[in-house]
Amino acid sequence: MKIILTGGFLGSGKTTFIRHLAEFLVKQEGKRVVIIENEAGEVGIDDKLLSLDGFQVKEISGGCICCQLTAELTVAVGQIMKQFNPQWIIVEATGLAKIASVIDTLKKYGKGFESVYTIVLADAERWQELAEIMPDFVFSQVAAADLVLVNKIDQAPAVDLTSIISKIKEVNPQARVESVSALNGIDEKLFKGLIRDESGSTPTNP
Amino acid sequence: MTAANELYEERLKRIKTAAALEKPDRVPVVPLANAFCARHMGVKMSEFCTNPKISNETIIKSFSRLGEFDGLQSAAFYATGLSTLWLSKVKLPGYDLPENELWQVDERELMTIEDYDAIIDKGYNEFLSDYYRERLDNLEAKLQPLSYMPQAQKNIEDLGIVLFCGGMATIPYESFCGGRSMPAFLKDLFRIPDKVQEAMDVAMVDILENTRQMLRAAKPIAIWTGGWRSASEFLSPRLWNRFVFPYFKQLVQAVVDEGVIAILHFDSDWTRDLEYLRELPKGKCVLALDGATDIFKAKEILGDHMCIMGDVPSSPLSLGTPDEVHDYCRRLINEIGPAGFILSSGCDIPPNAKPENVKAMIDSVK
Repeated sequence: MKIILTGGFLGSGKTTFIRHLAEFLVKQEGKRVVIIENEAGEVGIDDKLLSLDGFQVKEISGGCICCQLTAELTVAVGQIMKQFNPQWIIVEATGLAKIASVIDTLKKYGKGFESVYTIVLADAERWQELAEIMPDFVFSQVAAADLVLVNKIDQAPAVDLTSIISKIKEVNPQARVESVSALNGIDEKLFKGLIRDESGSTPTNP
Repeated sequence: MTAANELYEERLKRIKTAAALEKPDRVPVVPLANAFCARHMGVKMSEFCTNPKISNETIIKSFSRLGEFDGLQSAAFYATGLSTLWLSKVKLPGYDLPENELWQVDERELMTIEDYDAIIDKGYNEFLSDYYRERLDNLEAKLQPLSYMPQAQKNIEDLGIVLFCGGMATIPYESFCGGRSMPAFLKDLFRIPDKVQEAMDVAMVDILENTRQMLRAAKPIAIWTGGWRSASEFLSPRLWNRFVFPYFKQLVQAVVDEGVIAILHFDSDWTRDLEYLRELPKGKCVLALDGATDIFKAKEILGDHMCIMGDVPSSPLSLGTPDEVHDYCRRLINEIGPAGFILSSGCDIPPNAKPENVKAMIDSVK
């Protein structure tokens, strides 16, 4: 079983992207997939949209704050493995999650999965604003990613995409960076590349 | 004096000594737990979080099985009360969620951009009165069960247990962020910062006065003056210094002026700005961390200035072993304590924590 951890600030398009990814894995690749939704701070309609598409969705909620969610997530991964034995788990991290901490906890306490591959979505339209308002957070998310998707490029025709990508590569030279419009669909080549890259991602302790 | 009274005084002295940066006879342990107690005792979350009497009984029963501790940060719990801090609705198990799920703050854009003007024009209390009625489904009436809180406090004190957190207050940033939703609020900070600040300044007048009145009525030892969306990791230094810290300074000073300890319940990562906390009154605050801020850095920067509380994180409590928890606690006791330190969970003990791990935390101070 492999884990794809999807991060990105609130409203960056994580749910839309996950729908495309899950659809590709299930329909094109014939894989068993379970999606874990961390709901803190997100609009609660997200999991319903995914469930309506027929995907297996496990929702975890975090009380008033998200400091407890990482442990809940690790427990949920173990439960899902026993209950559904999927080939892939796609985790939608809360928009305020510290991705590096989530990865650390999964690797330290999680059992039975082969690897964690991390995708972070950055909202092209709001990149400049968020990088100015919350630089530590935005850059720490990007720094933890294997793949960064600069999303919503259709809604941001005036933004300087080259400078966004250049900044992301400066923060995380190892990550692959792609620009997409998840709302308008994702080219299958990206998913195929993702699966190819994933096989080279950091293995965890079984 | 009864045995429970004597025990209470002994424990209170231990906690107050630590809070005053001195060395107590041993490090006090003061956990914070709500949902954990419900799961531990097999009480439905839907009943626990909507009935303060049930939550009070459950907390007492749960902790009576976990060893000897000095105090608790919560005597009872009522999830709807969270709306007063974050101006959001709360989804409740048994109503909006399955009956054994954790409650969830339902962050939506309930507060509009025009509300900043309403606050400036009408004052915060009048704005809140309308907001509670119109946007939070008549919240004022729903808060009636909180009238049980004084009895809940008495119930734990009668057992010789100190209630170390007797109220809650926060800064406008947290409430506005919850009411507007974080994405919208951050846009406001970027696009209309002067308007937001003007509304914060107006709101602060009423927040300070409300806090003073609460403290004079309840006379607590300490209160929660916390934040998480206003954590350093979520805001640039320039914005944090404009919209967060000046307001915490005012709130903490008002609490301390009333002779009450301010518990800086700071969730998420505040490491970058720890140095600023030296501007708060020395020996009058307790910095309560949740595992995200570097507690050892906090000791280095603030160890001679304010008591530190924490920070056994949720992951080892839920997923680790008693030995692992014990070892971490001993490290905290030795490196953050023994003076000016209170051992506690990092924020709330998670609902799926193993009771044996919570017991290991409590026993580690012996």
